[in-house]
Amino acid sequence: MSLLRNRIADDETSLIRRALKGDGKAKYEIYQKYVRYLSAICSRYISDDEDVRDILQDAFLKIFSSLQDFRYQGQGSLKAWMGKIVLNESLKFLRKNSKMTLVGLSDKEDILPDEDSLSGNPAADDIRTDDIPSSEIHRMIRELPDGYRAVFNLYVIEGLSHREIASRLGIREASSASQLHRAKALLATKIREWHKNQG
Amino acid sequence: MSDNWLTDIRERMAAYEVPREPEGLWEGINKTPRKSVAGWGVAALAVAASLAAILLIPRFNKSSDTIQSPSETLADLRLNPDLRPTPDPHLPAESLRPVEPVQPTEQHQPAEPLRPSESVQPTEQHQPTDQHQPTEPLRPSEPAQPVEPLQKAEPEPQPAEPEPEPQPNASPEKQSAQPQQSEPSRQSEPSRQSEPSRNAAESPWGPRKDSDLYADSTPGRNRESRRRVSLGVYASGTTGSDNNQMLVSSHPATAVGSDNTTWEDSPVLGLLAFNQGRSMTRETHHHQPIRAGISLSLPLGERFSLESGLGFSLLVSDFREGSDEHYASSSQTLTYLSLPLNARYRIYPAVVTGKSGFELYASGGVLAQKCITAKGRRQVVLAGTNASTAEDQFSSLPYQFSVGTAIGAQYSLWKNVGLYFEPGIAYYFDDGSTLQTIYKQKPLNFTFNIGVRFSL
Repeated sequence: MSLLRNRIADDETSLIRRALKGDGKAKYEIYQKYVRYLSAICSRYISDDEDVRDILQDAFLKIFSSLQDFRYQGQGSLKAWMGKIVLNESLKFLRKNSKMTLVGLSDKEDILPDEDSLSGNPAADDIRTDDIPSSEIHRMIRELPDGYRAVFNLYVIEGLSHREIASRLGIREASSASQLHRAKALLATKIREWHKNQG
Repeated sequence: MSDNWLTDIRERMAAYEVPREPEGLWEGINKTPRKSVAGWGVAALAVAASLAAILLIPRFNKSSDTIQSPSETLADLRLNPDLRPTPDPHLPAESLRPVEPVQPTEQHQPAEPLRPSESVQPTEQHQPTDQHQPTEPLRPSEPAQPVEPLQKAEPEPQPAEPEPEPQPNASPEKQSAQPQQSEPSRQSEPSRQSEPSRNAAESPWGPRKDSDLYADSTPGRNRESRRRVSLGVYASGTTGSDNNQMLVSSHPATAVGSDNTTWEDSPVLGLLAFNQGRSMTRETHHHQPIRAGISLSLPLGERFSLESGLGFSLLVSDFREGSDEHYASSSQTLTYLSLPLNARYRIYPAVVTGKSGFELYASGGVLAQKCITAKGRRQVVLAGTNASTAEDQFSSLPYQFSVGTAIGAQYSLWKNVGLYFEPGIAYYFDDGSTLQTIYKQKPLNFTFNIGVRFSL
């Protein structure tokens, strides 16, 4: 097993080395290997496809230009490193361009209403997602409003704390918490609808 | 709350890969590094070219070509209802009587510069007294005449030509052409009234264009120096005569127009009178038009697009006519609303990949403009003091059509919005009016546009 892992690691390091030397084919191989994964990350945060492409383009340029600073630390480290760059670019874009609720939430928004008017009640136990295709989940997340979506992704998928989210997005911790709550409720609604449509 | 579903989402989304990567992503990545270098290089070139165009154009356009702007002459000063004391002034133009243009010089001793003495004037005004009764340099009659020489570049050769109309006055003129020091000419003048009127009748309002007067002038000459200011006024047509007659007795010593305007009130008369015997020049300076606007472009393919929009042009011109001490200077500001229709071809980059910050393109098309405001301010200075300042009246606000082609550099400000710099060349068709614009003087001209472009 470790032999395989080593082989993969060797393959990757040599790939990186070749890419660093300017080998266009090596760059393309790296690109091909991870682009769909990176696109998934980016598009989770950014709803507009053209923006996704632009951000990915910037991210890849950054990846290739700072590849020499990357320290290979075993299998998956390259993927994780690239993912972080894409995430950063996506959040940078959101902070700059998102004209919505990421910043400047009023105080009343911070209140976590248990009597949330959103129809989805996250507290219910009837939510199941294991029968939903990943592509559908992905789509549902993309459909969330920008602010909810970013917080949801960062908390649920990236595993950040509200404090970390607050600093990454430039919002208050309480806003992060309330947005998460809302995101969950909305998502739950979508999931229920999906199930209903399935008959 | 059950978090199972969230856990499930997390696990699956963390590893999720989309079925297909975004189209054109790799091309964008590959191209970009080169693009940024080449792009900036071309951008710098475009900007440099534009700046060069802006700086050089004024040189081409600044001109003191008088002849080419016939309307912008003292003749037109007279055409200006505000300033026109009488219709007469046109007459001298037509009559072009400077039978002996040379003589005037000898005879001019503008000794009493400011004495509009002779009374006969009302009629005299209308007399093409070429001989410029030298003693009364300022005979109101005279003022009108100076225009003649203005209009003829070379007064000397003139005498014969510029007389499209029969010159019955010729003979009487000759007689007065003799250096008659004063009254004799006056006496002869009244007799000519009728004729001048007839000639006048054919004048400026008629089909005859002022440009005819400049037939012998040399287009392109920078300074039109008219040394032979021949004074003499011509009876204007029907409008003038009657009044004049009546005025003769009541205003013995003033130049009076058909509507009883005295020369003091009509700076034009004064200007012409004052400038007897002096060299007069006419300078025209059209500033480079500035146009700004917004445009909309509709892509028709990968590289082609159709474009329209709305723009606004500002045309400023300065004119000066007269001598050093006595002159009329005016400035004219025109604004146009412009509607372009162009086809655009993107030269670079070959494919627009999302965040291309720079584009180089070529375009060609037509432009329709409508003059929406026209303002002019005319100031007449006599003997160093301001005799009058008046606003111009413009009889028509014409349409102006042109065709043109250009090269442009465009920078993306936001996704669908670009800022462009577009130097080019255009040909402007005659707008059929008497409005004096840079387009009339230089129909083939450089253009420089800056604008914001929204892509649909």
